Amino acid sequence: MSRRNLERWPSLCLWAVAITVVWTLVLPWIGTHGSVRSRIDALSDQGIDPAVFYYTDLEAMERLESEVVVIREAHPDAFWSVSTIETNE
Amino acid sequence: MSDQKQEASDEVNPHGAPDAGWRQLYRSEDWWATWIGGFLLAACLVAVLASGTDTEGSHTNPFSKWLGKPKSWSASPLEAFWVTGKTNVFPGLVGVFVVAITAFGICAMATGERFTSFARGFSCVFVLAVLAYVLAGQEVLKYYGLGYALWALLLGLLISNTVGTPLWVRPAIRTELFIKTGLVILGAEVLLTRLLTLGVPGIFVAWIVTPIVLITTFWFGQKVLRIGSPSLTMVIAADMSVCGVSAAIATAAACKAKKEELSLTIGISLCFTVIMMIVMPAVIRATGMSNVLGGAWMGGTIDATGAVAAAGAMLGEDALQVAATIKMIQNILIGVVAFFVAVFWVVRVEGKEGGARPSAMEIWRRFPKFILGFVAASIAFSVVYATWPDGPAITSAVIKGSTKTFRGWFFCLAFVSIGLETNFRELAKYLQGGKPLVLYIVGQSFNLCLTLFMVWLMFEKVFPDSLKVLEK
Repeated sequence: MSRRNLERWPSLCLWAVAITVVWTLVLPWIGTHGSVRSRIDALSDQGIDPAVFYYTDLEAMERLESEVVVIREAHPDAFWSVSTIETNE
Repeated sequence: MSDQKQEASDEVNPHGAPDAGWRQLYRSEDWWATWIGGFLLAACLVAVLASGTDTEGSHTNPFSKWLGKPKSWSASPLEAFWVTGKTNVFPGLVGVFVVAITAFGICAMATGERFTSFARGFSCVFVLAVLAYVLAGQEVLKYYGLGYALWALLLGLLISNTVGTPLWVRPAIRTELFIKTGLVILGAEVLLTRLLTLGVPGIFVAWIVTPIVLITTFWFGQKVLRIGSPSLTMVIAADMSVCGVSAAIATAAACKAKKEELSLTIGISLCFTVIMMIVMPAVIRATGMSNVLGGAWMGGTIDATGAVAAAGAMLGEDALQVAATIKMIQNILIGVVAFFVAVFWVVRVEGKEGGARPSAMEIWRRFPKFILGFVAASIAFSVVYATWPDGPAITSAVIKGSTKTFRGWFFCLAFVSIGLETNFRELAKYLQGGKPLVLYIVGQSFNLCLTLFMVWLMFEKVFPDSLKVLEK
């Protein structure tokens, strides 16, 4: 390891301390605040993790998809046939 | 290192491997990604089939208790690993580590690396990935939609830009291999049959608007903004129009984008995702738009699936249903986009660089082969899902119990690796006077307008009955 890199160890240590403080003190404190807490709990109850990237990561997806499928199968024309509008009108 | 070699190592998908012909099958990382991904998918599928069903008739995955990641936590990071009577992720971490070090270690040996030097470096990269998952698991950060990709990238950047990445870690920094293997495994989650979930309106909103926005944004970036790098333009266009980070990863690998280009795109995308997740529900409420229209609009425009669901939930259950379903249909487009981008790149972009039109053999040589594994996994699991008795339950057990976990880890390892290889100063040069940011904003504005028009046309005018039955 070069001398220059050794001199940068204090910088890494400082970052490590900052990360530890933010993650163990600041963020947990924000998480206890009324509106944030209630919103986190509401999303968690619904099986929603706002940080996931893909639909298979979303716990609520199976439930939501099956609900939509039930609606679609109960009213197939509403999703597949343009002519139902004319019939209804 | 010569400029040419440096450039190849900077790519998410460096090609031009010295080995030709059959040797590529066991020498190139492209093929190794396909073999590893394919083997893991097959092993998980066989395990689920062999273990049969439990007492309630559900398919079980015997690997699920041996594969895991740090959990979500609120007060102490230790909760991510162990909570008395509830959580113990250590067996899961050990399981993933053993599988990953074995699979990638064999690949490292086949491509000329010593297993011991790979294993030493890999242990460090894996520990950083664990740390990234722990940082991402903090519930307040999850609430704002900031996932593991960002923290993995930042942790890697922190080390490489302070003390520097140690030489002994470098043999394990195999960004391309981790990304491509993760993508082959992701292929199993691209279930084409789900395309029809919301009927014709869903197809129009998710599959007609998206390619138009992608192509227009790419054209705008190249012809109007004149962004120097076509791959950066394509990755931003795909990220913004398809489904955020996962689309960016797939497209970056398909068009051989540089690691810095992928990092920059993900940074921009995450910032705008947080903003749109908060602003869009407020705008929809303020304008008095119906929940179904609002949900479909958000599903078609907000990048990440989790953020779409969170924004939909702010409006109500009907908005949540439609938003998440539209996003799911759009997610499936990732396979088609990656395939066509790969073809377009080898035929039109790289073909043009060479001067003469490339021959079929040359196109095949340049084609990123792991895309074939990705598409094959998608087709195979779509067939299992649609035609096998109990297909949906089997695919769900395979994906939820094991392959999804592998895919997440491999992407996390890839982002740690990108960070460890990236210099902040190098990253800055890709900003090109803010052009990528302008491209994202212009493209997303066009996306917002066109999606809103299509949502209105489909749900209000052409299929008004669908709007009625979806509203609660």
